[in-house]
Amino acid sequence: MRVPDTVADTLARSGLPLELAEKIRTTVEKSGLAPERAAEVALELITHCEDALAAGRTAADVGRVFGDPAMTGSLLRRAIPEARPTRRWLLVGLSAGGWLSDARLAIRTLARRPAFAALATLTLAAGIGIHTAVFSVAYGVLLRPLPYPGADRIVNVWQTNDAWRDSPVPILRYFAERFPASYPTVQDWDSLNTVFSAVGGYRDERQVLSGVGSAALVPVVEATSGVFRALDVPARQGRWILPEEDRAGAPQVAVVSEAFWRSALGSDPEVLGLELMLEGVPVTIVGVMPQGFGFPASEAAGPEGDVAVWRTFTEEQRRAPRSSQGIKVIARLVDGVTLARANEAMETLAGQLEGEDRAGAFGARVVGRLEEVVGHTRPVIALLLAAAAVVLLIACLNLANLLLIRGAERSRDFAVRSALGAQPARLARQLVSEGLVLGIAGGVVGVALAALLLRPLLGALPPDMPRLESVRLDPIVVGVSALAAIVTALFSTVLPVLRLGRRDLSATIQHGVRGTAGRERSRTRALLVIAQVAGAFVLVAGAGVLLRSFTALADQDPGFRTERVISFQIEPPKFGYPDEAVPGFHQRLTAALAAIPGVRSVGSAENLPYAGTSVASVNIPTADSVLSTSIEINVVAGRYFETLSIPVHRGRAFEAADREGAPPVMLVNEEFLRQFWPEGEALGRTVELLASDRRVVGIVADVRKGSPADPVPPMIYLPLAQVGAPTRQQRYVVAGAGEVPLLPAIRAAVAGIDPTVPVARVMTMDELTAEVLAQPRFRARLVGLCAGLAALLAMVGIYGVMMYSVLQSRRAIGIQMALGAGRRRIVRGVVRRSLLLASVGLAAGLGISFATFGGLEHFIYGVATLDPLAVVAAGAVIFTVAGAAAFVPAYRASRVDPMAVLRE
Amino acid sequence: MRLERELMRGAGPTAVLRLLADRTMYGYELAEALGRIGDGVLAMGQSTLYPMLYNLEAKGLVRATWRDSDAGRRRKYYALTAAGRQRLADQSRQWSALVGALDGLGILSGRGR
Repeated sequence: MRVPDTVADTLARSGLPLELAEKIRTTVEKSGLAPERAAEVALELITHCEDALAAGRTAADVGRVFGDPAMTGSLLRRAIPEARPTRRWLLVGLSAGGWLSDARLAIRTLARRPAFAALATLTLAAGIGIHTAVFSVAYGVLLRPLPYPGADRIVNVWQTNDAWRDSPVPILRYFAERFPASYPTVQDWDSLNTVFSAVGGYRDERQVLSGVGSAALVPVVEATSGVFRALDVPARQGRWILPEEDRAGAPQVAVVSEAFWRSALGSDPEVLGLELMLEGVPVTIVGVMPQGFGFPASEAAGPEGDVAVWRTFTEEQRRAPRSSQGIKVIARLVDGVTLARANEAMETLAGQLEGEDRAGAFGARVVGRLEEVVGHTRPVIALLLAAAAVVLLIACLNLANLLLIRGAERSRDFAVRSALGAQPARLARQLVSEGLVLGIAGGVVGVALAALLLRPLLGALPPDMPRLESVRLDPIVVGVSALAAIVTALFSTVLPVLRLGRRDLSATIQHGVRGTAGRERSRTRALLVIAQVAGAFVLVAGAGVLLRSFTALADQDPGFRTERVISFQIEPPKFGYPDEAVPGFHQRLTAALAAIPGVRSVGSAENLPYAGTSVASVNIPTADSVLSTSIEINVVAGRYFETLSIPVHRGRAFEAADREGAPPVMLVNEEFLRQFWPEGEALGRTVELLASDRRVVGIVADVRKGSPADPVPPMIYLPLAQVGAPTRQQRYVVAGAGEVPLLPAIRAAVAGIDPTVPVARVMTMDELTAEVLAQPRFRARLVGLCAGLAALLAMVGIYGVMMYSVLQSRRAIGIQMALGAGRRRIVRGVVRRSLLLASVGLAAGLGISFATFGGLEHFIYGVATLDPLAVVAAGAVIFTVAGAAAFVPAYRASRVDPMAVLRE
Repeated sequence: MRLERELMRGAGPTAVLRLLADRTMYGYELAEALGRIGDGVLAMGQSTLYPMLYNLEAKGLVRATWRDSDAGRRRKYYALTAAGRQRLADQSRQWSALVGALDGLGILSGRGR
């Protein structure tokens, strides 16, 4: 029978001479007492011996007086009636009480080494903190259910068009998979489908609200009744839009948001029945939605602002034909219907509807709503999670390293305890308890760190990242982090615990950890450090590649100049300006703006670079035939090209003479020429577009559309005055001559023409460009942050190993110095070893980078996935870190006093 | 001089109860006090003292409590219970009778040879 572990611990900690400890151990062992009682008896006997020693007795004397331990044991057994021999202590490993006392012991042990405990806790906290923050974002954006009852059954339904799949126009390739529907199609889908309980159509836009304060563009969603039935969120007051209100001729009604009701309507309790003037048409309020309901904006991107009003479609839209397709569709799956079945059913339904009066052969596709909203963010979030996971892994390796070093320091202590009868499992349990305590401490600090990190992280996220408002530290995230912390800590104890199994006890007691065990151990530590360096290198190099890609994007010539150019959107409301009045309005406004002192030039376009796309069908005569295709167009007015410094390479820009009634003209860009008329002759040729033949009068330079990473599409520019049914919205660009603040004068000029026309989306062109670069900037920053942390942790790792090895080899250093080695040589030796570790880690990291950086392709532009500059820079960072980490240990080594060491 | 085990078995507990009748004591104190009495005939090592104490405790004659001493050490202090006091009185009577009887035999005065 062996003694309970608690007794062995107590004995080991007591510091009694071995012979006395041995007597007490035997006494307790022979007594067969239950562990608690045994520990109590042992403690009493220890105290007795200590008192005797303190009184000046020799250990031999105390031992002689003690008596025969075997006999004492059996006497004890007889003396204590409840002390029947028991196997209960065998189970102590599983009992909570045992673990609790282990935890207490672990805390006391750690408290005796505050520097170690703090370093270990912070190491783990850094890993957990960054991981928790990133996981919060991942969870909030990708995983948290949308704020609707039964949200997993809400889907989007799109039309598909196979004919567009291979189109040269990027936007058409996009539309091939997700084309909006027409009003009649939505009605048909709602009434004829077999898989949805509700189908609704919606269109989010901005409409001019008048009659409540000054005229303003407010975010409005035109919606059919099916939208409300699909989302199934009850109104807080009043009701939803009803199915009969979807029909042509039905009264126009609206449901407003809680925020709009509070701010714009002054929380009017009599709100139901009030009329709003939207686009000059009265719309009756029939309901108020609860706070937090903001479909579709609150679950999608932010910059458009929260939806204020959901209203029935305009009468014009209700009567629109099937060819007028601009309506997004949302639906709710019937219980038990899978996405696959819904897709099949809708494809069939679309086939049946095809015979009707519609252009083109459209299919249908059903996508989960959450996937629709956040699917495109998955790659970037996966990238961040991967970076954070590498940091966590490095933290884990670091912790394992610290625990190994700590274990080595204590190996003598553990050996003594083993000799006194403590089971290896018992010692393992203590290591694991220490790991657990560190895990909990690191987890708590890490979550606190994440709470601090989360706000700046959210601030750094690109504004077009959806669902950011649902990102927070919630119990699920914290739970996962706690688990991660504990698993990390436990994982970190695996190596030290395995070490326990093979140890030559007597050698360890006599010599500490010098010898083969020590050497093997230092090899393990070296491997751990190499792995950390490799991980840090991967992150630093990855961040470097992303940064290089970002600068490549930022430096890329967009084809236009942004300095001192203000942009804003003007949309004359329908009720004051019928289609034919729109060009005249813009013409007058352009003239008024140009007259402002300090304005160099003024122009406008339907779509600015990086913002918006319009497509039209064209017939382009090529060398041997006529090519019918769809192509991107932009409708411009004023001196648009001049304002943005877009050069006209050949021919001319539009002139005042290109007015309605004059011969229709157009401009094309260089890419158009390359794709359709590679022979080069373009001026004077005609293209059939918007029902008239238009003559090419000029070739303009390519301008980036969408992100700077996207290729430039072929483009056609049309003068606003010659477009029969113009889109109303024009985005103006105004170039100032100096630093004169133009905005007040611009607002005054607009108001001078019509005070009911709002000036919206005011921003400088620089801001617009910055918005486009937000994603790559964010990626580079965040991966950079992870890389910085990783490098720091690797530095701590190298430092720990070097410091430890210096302390361990003080004797050897002392001998070297006694034999004449100078301090510089000693320092060089330490630094060389540190750099050697770094080199091996670097080589491993390079290998990993080679194998994995292909995954970055999606995120980078203009640089190789394994960009040489980034790799070299990362190598330099790692070497600097390794050198810095070796500095203090090297200094310590050089301060070794050979005489003192040799006397030890 | 040391007592034979059989004699010690009778005398030891009574001596311990007697010492505890004055004040509470911890094991080492008891051992020291016993060693100082009468040339150390009652001196006992831990191997005798502690089984005896636990036995007395099990019989309800003494009560043990862990307390922090002034020096900040945790010690187990032993105190006499009411039952212990009663037992001490009984034992004292018995020992008096025994000593009287032995004295009558001349043992105590050294004539018993």
